[in-house]
Amino acid sequence: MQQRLIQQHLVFKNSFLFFQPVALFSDGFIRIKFYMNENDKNKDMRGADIVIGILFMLLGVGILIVSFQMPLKASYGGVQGVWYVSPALLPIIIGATMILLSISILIYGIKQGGLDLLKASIAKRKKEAFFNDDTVRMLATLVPLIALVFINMPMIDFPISIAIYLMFTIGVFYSEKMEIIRKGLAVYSIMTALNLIIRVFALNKILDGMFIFTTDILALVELIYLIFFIRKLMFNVDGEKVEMKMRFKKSLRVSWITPLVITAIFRFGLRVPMPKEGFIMNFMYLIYYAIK
Amino acid sequence: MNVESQFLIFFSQLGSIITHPTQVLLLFGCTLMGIIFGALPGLTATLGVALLTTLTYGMDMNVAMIALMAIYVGAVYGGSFSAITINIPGTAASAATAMEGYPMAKKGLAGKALGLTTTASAIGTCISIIFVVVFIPLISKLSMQFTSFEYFLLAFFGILISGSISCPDTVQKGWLAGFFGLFLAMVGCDELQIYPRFAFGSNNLEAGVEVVPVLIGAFGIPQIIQVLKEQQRPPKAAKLDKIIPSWSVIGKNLKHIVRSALIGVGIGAVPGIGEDIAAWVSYGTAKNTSKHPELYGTGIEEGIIATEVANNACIGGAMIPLLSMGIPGSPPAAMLLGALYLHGVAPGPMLSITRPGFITQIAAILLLASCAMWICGIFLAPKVVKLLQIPPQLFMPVVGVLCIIGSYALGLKIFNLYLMIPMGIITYYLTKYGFPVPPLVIGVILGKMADSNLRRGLLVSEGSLKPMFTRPVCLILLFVIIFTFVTGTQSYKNFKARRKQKD
Repeated sequence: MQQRLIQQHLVFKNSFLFFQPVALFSDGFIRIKFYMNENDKNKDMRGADIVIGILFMLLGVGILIVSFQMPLKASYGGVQGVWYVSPALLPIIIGATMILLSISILIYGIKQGGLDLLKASIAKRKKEAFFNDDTVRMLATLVPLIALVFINMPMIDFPISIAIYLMFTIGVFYSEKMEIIRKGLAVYSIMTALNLIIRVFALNKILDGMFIFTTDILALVELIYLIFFIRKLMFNVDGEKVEMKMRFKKSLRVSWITPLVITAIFRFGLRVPMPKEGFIMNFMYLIYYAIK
Repeated sequence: MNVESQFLIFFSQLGSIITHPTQVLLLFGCTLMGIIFGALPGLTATLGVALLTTLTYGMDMNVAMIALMAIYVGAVYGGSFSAITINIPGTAASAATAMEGYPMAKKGLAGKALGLTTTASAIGTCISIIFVVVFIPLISKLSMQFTSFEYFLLAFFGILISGSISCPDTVQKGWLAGFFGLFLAMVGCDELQIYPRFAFGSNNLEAGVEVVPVLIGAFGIPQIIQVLKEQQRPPKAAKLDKIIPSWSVIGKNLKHIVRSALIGVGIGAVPGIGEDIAAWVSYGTAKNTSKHPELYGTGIEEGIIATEVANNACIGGAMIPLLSMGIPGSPPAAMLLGALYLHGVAPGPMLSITRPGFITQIAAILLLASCAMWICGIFLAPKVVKLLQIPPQLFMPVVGVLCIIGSYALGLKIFNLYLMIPMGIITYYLTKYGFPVPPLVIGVILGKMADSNLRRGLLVSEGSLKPMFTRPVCLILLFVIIFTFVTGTQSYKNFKARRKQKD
C-alpha cells in the first residue's frame, strides 16, 4: 500500500548548494523522493510548472505594463524626475526577472515532458467527476473561510458568524464521513448564497432598518438549522451512533464556546472593536457592564 | 556600551523578570504554549509567534518580547514531542529528530529520548545566546559603514540565497517566489516620491501591503487547508513514563554539541533559512563524521543531540541578522520582525543607539526562556503528549479563527483579511507545486528596503553603478550573488553532472 507522505526535506549532500530531498512517510521510513540537482526528474510537477510558468509570465508582463505607466523621467509632484529615482525602477527589474524566471521554468517543464503530463492530467480530470472527494474536501475547507471573511463578518454579529464557520467546519470534518461533508457543503453553500444576495443587494440595511437585529436573527436561524442538520447527518451513521453522538457534542461545544471566549478576550481584554457588533455582542456588553 | 554595562543590563534584566511574578507566569505560560504549538502537527513555531503577536500588541514592549521569545523557543523544541512519540514531526525543525527519536521510543526509551531533546535544546539556545551578545554589536558596527548599495545587495542576496536553499524543487522556483514577494512589497506608495504603485485607485492598496497579515496568511491558511483536506488522524503515542535529563550522555557528547551549535547559529544567521535546514545539516554532519554511521536510524543518542542542539541554536543565529540589519534569519524571525515593528522597535544598525541594552535584554529573555523550556519539558511532558491525541479537525478551525481575528485586530482593517485569505490560498498552491514560502516572505519584508536603497544609492551616485564595483562589501556581496545564481542554473547542474559521469 502506498504510504502517506508526511514530511519532505532537504538533506545536506556533497556541497553547500546541493541538497538531496528526502520524504518521511507514515510508516516511519525515510525514502529519497526525488533529486533537485543533476538527476532532477520530479516529473509529476512538470505539467503544473507549465501552467504556473505561464501565469507568472503573465503577471510579469502585467507588472511591466503598469510600471511603464509610472513616471520614468517626467516630473511628478513638481519635481523633475530622472530615471534612477523613478518609482518604476525596481518594479521594472522585478517584472523582467519574473518573466525570465518563468520562461526558464516553462522551458524546463517542457523539456522534461511536462506537456504530455499536462495533457494526461487534463484527460484524467475529464474522466473523473468534477465533484470528486478531493475537490469536495477542498471546497469544504475554502468556502466557509471565504464566506466568513467576505460575506458574513462584515454584516453579521461577530460571534454568530464565527459560530457558523466553526459549527460547519468542525462538524463535517470531525465526522470523517465523506457523505456528511458532501451534504453539509451543499446546505452551507445554499446558506452562503442567501447571505451573498443579502450582502450584494444591501438587504441587511433594509432588514436592520425594520428591526435592528434582523440580519443577526436570520443568521442565528441559519446556525440553528445547521446544527440540527449536522446532528441528523451524524446520528444517521449506521453502527457508529455512540461515537458520532460524542463527536457532535464536542463539535457543538467548541463552536459555541470559542466565539464567546475569543470575543471576550479581544473586545473586553484587548479593546478591539469587532467588525460587526450585534445581537450576541449586545448581550455580552450587558453582562460585562453588569459585572463591572 | 562597554562589556561591564552590558553584563549589568543582562543581570538587571534577569532580576527584573524573576522578581515580577506576572512576567514569570507569562514566561512559563508562553513557553508551554510554544511547546504545545510545536508538538501539535499542523501548528508551527511561525504560526505561534504570529498569533501571539496579535495578542501582545496592547502590551508593553518589554513584556511582549518575553512572551514572543518564550513561544519561539518553546515551539522550536516542542516539535520533538510528536516526532519522538508518534513519528510525526510537530514542526519541520524536528523532522530530523524523528529519525533517531522514534526508533528510541519503539525500544521503550521515549522518556530518555525526550529528556535528551529537552536538555540538548536548552543547551543549544544557551550557546546561541553567546553569539547573540558577541556578534550583534560587531555586525551592527560593521553595517553602520554600509551605504545604500550594500543594503540593496544585502536584500537581494537574502532573497536569492533563501530561494536557493529552501526550494524543494528547481531553484528558479525559489527565486520566483522571492520576486513575487518583492512585487507584493511594491504595492502602495513608494518612500521617495509617495507615488501610488499598483494601487489601481484603491485607498487600501495605496497604504501598502501590511506584513503581518500577509505572514499570517502565508503560514497559517495553507496549514489549515492541508490538515483539513488530508483528514489526518493522530496515531497512538508511544508510552511515556519518566523524563530523564541524561546529563551523563550530554557530557559524553560535548564535541557534537559544540559543532551542532555552530552549525545552528551559522545557518540561522543566513537570511530566511530556518531551523529545519539547520537540523538536517547538523544530523548529516554528525552521521558523516561518526565512527558508526551504520547505527544512525536505529535510535542513536548523538543523532538526537545533533538535531536538537542545532535547531534551537538556530534561534540565536536568526536573531543576529534580524537585530543587527533588520533581515530575518528564519521564518519565525520574520514574524518576530513584524512584531518588533508593531511595538515601535526598528531593528538595524541604529538599534544599539536608539535602544541601548535591547540586545542584552533579548539575550536575557532567551536564557530565561530556555530555562523555562527545560523545566516545562522535564515536568510537563506526559501532559503535553496527551494533547497529541486531540484530533486536528477540532483545533485547526479554531486556529483559523485566531488567524482571522489576529489579522483584523492589527490595524482594525477588514481589508487585512481580504489580503490574508487570497495570500493563504495562493501560498497553499505555490507550496503544493514546489514553490517555497520563506523567500516569498523575505521578499515582502525586504522589498521596501531594496527599493528605497537602490534609488537612494543611484541618487547619490547620480545614476552611476560604479560604487557597486568599487566598495569592498558590495564586491563580496556581488560575488556571492553571482555564485549563488550561477550554481543554481540548469546549465551549471548539467555541467556538474557531466563531470561527475566522466569521473
